[in-house]
Amino acid sequence: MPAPIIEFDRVGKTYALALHRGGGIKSLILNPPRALRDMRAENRVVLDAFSLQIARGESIAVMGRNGAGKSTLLALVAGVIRPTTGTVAVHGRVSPLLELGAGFHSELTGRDNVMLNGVLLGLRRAEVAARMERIVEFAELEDSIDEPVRTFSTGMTARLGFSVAAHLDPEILLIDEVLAVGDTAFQAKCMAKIREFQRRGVTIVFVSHELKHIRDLCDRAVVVADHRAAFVGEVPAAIAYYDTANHAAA
Amino acid sequence: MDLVIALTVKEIKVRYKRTVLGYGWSLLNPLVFAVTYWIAFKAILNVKIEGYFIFLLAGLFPWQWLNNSLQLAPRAFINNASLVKKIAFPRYLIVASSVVTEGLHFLLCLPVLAGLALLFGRGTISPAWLWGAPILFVVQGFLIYGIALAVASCSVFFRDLERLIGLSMTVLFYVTPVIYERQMVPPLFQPLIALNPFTYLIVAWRALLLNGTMNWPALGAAAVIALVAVVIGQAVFNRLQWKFAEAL
Repeated sequence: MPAPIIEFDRVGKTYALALHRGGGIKSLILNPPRALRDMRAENRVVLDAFSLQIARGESIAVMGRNGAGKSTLLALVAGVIRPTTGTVAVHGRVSPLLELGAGFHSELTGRDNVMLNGVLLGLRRAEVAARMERIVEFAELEDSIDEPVRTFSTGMTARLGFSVAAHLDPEILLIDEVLAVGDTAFQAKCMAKIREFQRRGVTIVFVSHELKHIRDLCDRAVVVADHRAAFVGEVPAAIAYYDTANHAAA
Repeated sequence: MDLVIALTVKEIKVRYKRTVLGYGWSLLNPLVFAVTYWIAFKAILNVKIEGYFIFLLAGLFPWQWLNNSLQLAPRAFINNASLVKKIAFPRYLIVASSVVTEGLHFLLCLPVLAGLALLFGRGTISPAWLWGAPILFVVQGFLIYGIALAVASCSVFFRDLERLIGLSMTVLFYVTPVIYERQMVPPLFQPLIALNPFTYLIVAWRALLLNGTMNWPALGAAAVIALVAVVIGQAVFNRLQWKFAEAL
């Protein structure tokens, strides 16, 4: 295997539950030692000793049940969170296509959002402006691009999100369930675009519950279960493993 | 740099969605306050300050920049949760762009102040403005940025901070020589004024805007405070930023 473009090395990720609980300053002031102890004590383990290597140019599917840690995995690659233990090494420009319209501001127009997103993802303003028409055209939003994103339908937002991410010359593309939203025609268009990326050697990390898409697009798959990479291998074998594991659980 | 510009443009566009007056508000606010304070303290309490209206404005404009930025700071990361959670970019730029946005408003207020000063015949439009204002602008920008960054980072975890800041700013306003002169404060309370990090900036701005002189000791103090604020703010941010995406 050539040098990996993404490498998880015994990654552990725990979330502190206290971050999501109320209390705020009050409990901290009233009883600081206990409040701090509580914060440290209550953790939820998402990944534990998770190791995975993803080669440059491959398309890998991430499978797993809800809450298994698929999105955490993508967030680690995108670099928005850090592992609690272990290391995540990423050697390339990541274009996150996570969830619907993430990173869009609902009050701004589609065009403003494209600009903001492009710049946040590492392009210069002039570069985004140069690609603007292609992005809008691909998303088929010529008529509504100057309206606030708030007025867009779910499908329109997804189209724009995909279009932005797809026009940024990513080296690594993270796709999280977004294809499920657009209509059939747009899905086909996205698939064609993803294939084009694959031909150009873009690495794709693909999270989906849609087995058909996984079979169509991916070379390999990883099944995330019990906080680790329970299975890594060819797609058919991974699907078989995943099915068996689910049946065993059910 | 492109990021700062893009974020600032976004900030301004979002701010003025569905408002009629837009930037006019940052002018109207201090003007209304100045009139109110003028009535309360000049017309009624008969405070002994010459040209009190312009005196007030010279303090209120920089104060407004401080106040607005710090009041907005607790929500800086929270309001941009969708960006912070999904995209890896230097997140401190969110705070920086917010400070810049408010700073631009402040700059746009200065010509109005100059015009009013001419009209009322108080204060001088001095060539010292040309070099003095940029210096004070930068110092104040860094001071606000440092505090705002720490506040924004902490408030991701302690939402109470927003209330706390609101209250503190109201108190601080009266402990800062905005509506009175520093010399008027009785000796007992002078230490309080001296400990207030915002005192020096307001004093320096007023010396510059009203008399066309630079109050070097005040500038020096403000610069030191700004430096400390940035160091602390950045340290707090660095420590907490990797938890943002989890806590938001």
